[in-house]
Amino acid sequence: MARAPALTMGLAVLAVCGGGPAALAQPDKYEGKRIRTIQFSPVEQPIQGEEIFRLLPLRIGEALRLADVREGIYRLYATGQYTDIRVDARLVDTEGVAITILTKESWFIGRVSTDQGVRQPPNPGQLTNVAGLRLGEAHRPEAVKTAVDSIQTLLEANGFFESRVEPRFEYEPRTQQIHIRFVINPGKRAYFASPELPPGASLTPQQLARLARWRTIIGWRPVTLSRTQRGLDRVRRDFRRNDRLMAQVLLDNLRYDPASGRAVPELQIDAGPKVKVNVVGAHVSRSRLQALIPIYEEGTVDRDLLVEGARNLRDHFQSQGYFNAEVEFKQQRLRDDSAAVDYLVNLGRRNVVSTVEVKGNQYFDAETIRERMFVLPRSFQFRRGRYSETLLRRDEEAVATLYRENGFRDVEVDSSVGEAPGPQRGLAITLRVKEGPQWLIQSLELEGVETLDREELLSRCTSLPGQPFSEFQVAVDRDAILARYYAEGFSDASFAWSATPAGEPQRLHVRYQIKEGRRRFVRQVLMSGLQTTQPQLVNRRILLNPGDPLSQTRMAETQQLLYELGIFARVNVAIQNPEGELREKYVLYQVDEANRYSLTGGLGAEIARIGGNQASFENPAGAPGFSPRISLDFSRLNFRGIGHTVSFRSRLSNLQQRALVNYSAPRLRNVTGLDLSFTALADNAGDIRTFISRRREGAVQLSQRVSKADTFLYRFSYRRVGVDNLKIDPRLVPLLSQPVRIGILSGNLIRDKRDDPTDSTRGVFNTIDLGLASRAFGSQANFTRFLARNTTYHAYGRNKYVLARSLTFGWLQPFGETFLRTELDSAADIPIAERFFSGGANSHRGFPENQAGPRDLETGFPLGGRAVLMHNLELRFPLLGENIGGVVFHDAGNTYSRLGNISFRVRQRDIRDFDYMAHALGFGIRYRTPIGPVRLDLAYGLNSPRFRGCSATNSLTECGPLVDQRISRVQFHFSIGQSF
Amino acid sequence: MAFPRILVAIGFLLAKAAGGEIIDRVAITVGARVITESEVRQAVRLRQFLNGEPLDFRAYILRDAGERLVDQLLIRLENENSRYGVPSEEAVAAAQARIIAELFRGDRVAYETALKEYGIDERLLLEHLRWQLTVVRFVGVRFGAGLQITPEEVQAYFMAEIAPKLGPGATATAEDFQSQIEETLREQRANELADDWVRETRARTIIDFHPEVFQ
Repeated sequence: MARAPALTMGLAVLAVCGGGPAALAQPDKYEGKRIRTIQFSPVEQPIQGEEIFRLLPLRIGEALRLADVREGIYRLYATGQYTDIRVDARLVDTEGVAITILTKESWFIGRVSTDQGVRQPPNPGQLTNVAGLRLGEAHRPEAVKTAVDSIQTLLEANGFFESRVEPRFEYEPRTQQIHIRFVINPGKRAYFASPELPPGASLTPQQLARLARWRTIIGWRPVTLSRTQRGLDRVRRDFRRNDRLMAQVLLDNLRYDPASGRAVPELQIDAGPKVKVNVVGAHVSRSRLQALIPIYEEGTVDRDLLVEGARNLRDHFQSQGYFNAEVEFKQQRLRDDSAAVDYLVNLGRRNVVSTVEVKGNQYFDAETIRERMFVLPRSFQFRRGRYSETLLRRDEEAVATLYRENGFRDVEVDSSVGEAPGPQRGLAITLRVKEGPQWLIQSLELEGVETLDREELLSRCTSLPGQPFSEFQVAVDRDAILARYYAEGFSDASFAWSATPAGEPQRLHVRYQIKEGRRRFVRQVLMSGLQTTQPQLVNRRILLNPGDPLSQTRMAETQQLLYELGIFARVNVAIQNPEGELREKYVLYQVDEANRYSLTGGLGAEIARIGGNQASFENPAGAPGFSPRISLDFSRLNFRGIGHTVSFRSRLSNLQQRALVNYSAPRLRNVTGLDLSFTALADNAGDIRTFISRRREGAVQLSQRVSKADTFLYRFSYRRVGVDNLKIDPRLVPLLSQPVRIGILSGNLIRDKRDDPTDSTRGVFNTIDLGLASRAFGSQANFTRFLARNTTYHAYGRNKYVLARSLTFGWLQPFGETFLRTELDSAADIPIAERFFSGGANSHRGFPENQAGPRDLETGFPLGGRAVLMHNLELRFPLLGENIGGVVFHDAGNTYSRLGNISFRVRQRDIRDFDYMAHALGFGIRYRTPIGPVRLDLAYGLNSPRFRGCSATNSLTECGPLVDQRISRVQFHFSIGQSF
Repeated sequence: MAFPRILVAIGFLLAKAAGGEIIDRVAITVGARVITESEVRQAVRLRQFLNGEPLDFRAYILRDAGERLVDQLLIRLENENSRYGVPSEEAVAAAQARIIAELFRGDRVAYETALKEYGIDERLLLEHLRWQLTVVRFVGVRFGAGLQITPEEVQAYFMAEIAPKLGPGATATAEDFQSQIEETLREQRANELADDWVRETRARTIIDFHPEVFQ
């Protein structure tokens, strides 16, 4: 068409004028002109409302100053919300100018994820971590490129040399977030190939491959980062084992061959000389030497390390009682590829620390000072005492710090070591304290507080007028004040202090200067990563609302609450654009939902007097036995996306077979601490010698945590319990042999004020359980059940000694009608499986498991009782070092036939009498582990019961000749966890 | 179809042509700070004014000015944090007087005319001089304080730089020039340390030049 060429020409002209990079306008043209309008392009800006105009120094109606334009660009850019800003001016009349501010917004990192298709290792978490893109930070294309390179490097290190990584972006303009997903095509994982070594290496490639375990008898193994590193570590350890302490083993490269799919490790190996470390004048085991001389750990030999080794050796000998030990070293020259380091030890006389005295102290008593000291006189725990020069120096500093923290700025602490006077042998160590004057605070000024309540801040300070002055307390005050500011959104708050002498001697005026900085507020809380979880479950736990001060504390608390849901593997929290100078900020939470399915298995064992043959009448008192145990648990977390859990738990052992299904609904009606659960249980238990119980049970339980220490449990259970392999005459007690249905409503109060539930040293633990079984609940037996326990812990001597005691009382009371009556007793009775059974590792250690209390007069098997009274007293103390402890204990009590038969009588009246108080003394060993102490208890029964019981089995249903027996006086118990 | 697309393109370009002019924009970003194009051009004017060079805003000159402004901004930030002090007004006035004397032979009228020609406000020039003195002070205090110059270094400098200029038969020794040599060496060393510091700081900072400004 004819018009087209002209149009095209015109477009070309316009393109030159408007499309290319424009130079700045001449400054004079607009300077001083009246600003008529100020607009933004685009109209939608990330900074809301009036704030954006407040940032600009330009005002409509005022004269345009180019310096103001520049300042406006500074301020807008400082918000962090923009990557580019241009200011455009257009004359609108002879004296007026219209300003348009053209902006390009920043993007901020949101969700970073990778495809799930990569075979581990590496796992998705490692891939996203190595990308280095942090939630909330400004997005930069170079950073994404670096991320791609880093992911590629990690993939190659794990054998994926043909991987391809592509970032995919998803933009969320409303919140300026950019979500990045790395699409990974990993390719095949390479296998190791024969390593390449430099000429003259002391190992052959085959030897190295075998040592590094890169090759097995089957063939070459796949390359992974951890396998490569572990292999190199093994080679280094092998060199060290052969005294080549300076060996260098470095991986230069993993050279990949695409044709074969193999990676050749190219290594640099320098074995270095053999370095022999000798200790002359004393014996030190090789393992101890390697722990003390740092050249083994560091893999090099230099003077500093040898000096440190000498010091460590000296301390080691001193800790063994050679308090005057001297150690020096001598390096021998390299000869024939070997060198030696001789540590020359002069042990001196072995000694003990007889006394450790503190002198010159007035403000603190000696006990308080000694609590801070490592140097100790001899004792049961430390036979020679504990001393070394290093420890003594440390103690001097610790005591001096104690004084300084209490205002004694001029304190001097020194020590002397001499021979103990008089008939005592050993060392006498004296710590001398020159306290000097105590400096006190005359006045405290708090300046710069404009927004928060000054008095409230002062109430958090410990450095108050009249109190001792110390820099330590100033630091405590600083942390308390700044924590308050950070919680109120003042993330830039700063604290400075000064102290000047007051008029009076040893008095100081202390001044705290606060700079509040800008206060920040929450613009909105953004949550990402929810896939199956219902948003309302999460939203209820967010403690921040738009407009709230931007509190780091609340952010962290919210993060904690989300973790407590138990459904997230990771909860990341960040502020979007943290460096930007904006008043309101987005708070970002990014969650990774945990695997919804978990499967765990376990193996265990129990060793005690538990065994004996369940199918025979022998050993009514049990016999030493070993019961292995297998457990298998399966859980489905976050059921229906509302944080509920369905779990299946099973346990299989000689004594017990159990299957349990549980549905748990925590935080019922969104109330924290209110949890509901439903349980269905099938259990066969043979831990009571008299019978095997078969229990089928359904239960619903509501637990209510009313405070940190107090929890209420409300529970209704309906169960059917049958007994098999009954060792007593069922004709005598038909009640005891029939399956019984029990419906029981119970309530339980738990008050736990212990410092550590797994290994308590202080506190109190109380429980009260009250239950009612009634026909109204479908129960075939009517009875009430009461069981209470009170346990206390008291620590002495710096928590070294713990006196633990526990009192247990229980009572079962039948009432009303029951369809099950005994021939001997027309009154209602308690089904055998519901009775109290006690005895064993966790109740009375003078008895085997569940063997205390009344026994069948015909067979001797335990019958359980309707009352229990038990008292346990235990003294726990350190035995050897830090991890091995000992206990001595006294267990007293019994299971009684009924409440009225509880007695403190210690003698058994006759062979039919079991209602007396049995006592046992014993001692035990405790070995501390991360999951609690492993324990072995040995008890001696002072008055264990005698009874008549079966000696042999004539048939499966008949008991053989009755003989007088006795519960063995000596009982042993092996378990995990304290007994109470 | 091509025709409707052309209409859209025309509309965009016409709108652009009817718009105003850019009076300032971001030229360089240095971490969370910016340097605007007007600053870069201003720096070029000042440099060319002080060097007596004609005004020239070619791309490589703008780029060079931008690089120096980045260094100065890093120093400015460090100075703000550490507060090494500011020069006195007398020092600034003395520097101005030196410029008038050296570049304009004391002719204040010629000086003011030149300022106008280069489009430089006198306050801007004074600010620039104040800043230059601040930088000198910063380098001296931050990097120069505590620098030790050994006698061997003094001797070496004397032999390399001063002795050849004294001519044959001169009897002066290094000791005669010791204080001047020490000051010179201290200044050189401080400048080297300052350059190293700038280099390290740049490496740690995200610096972005907007290409449309430097074309």
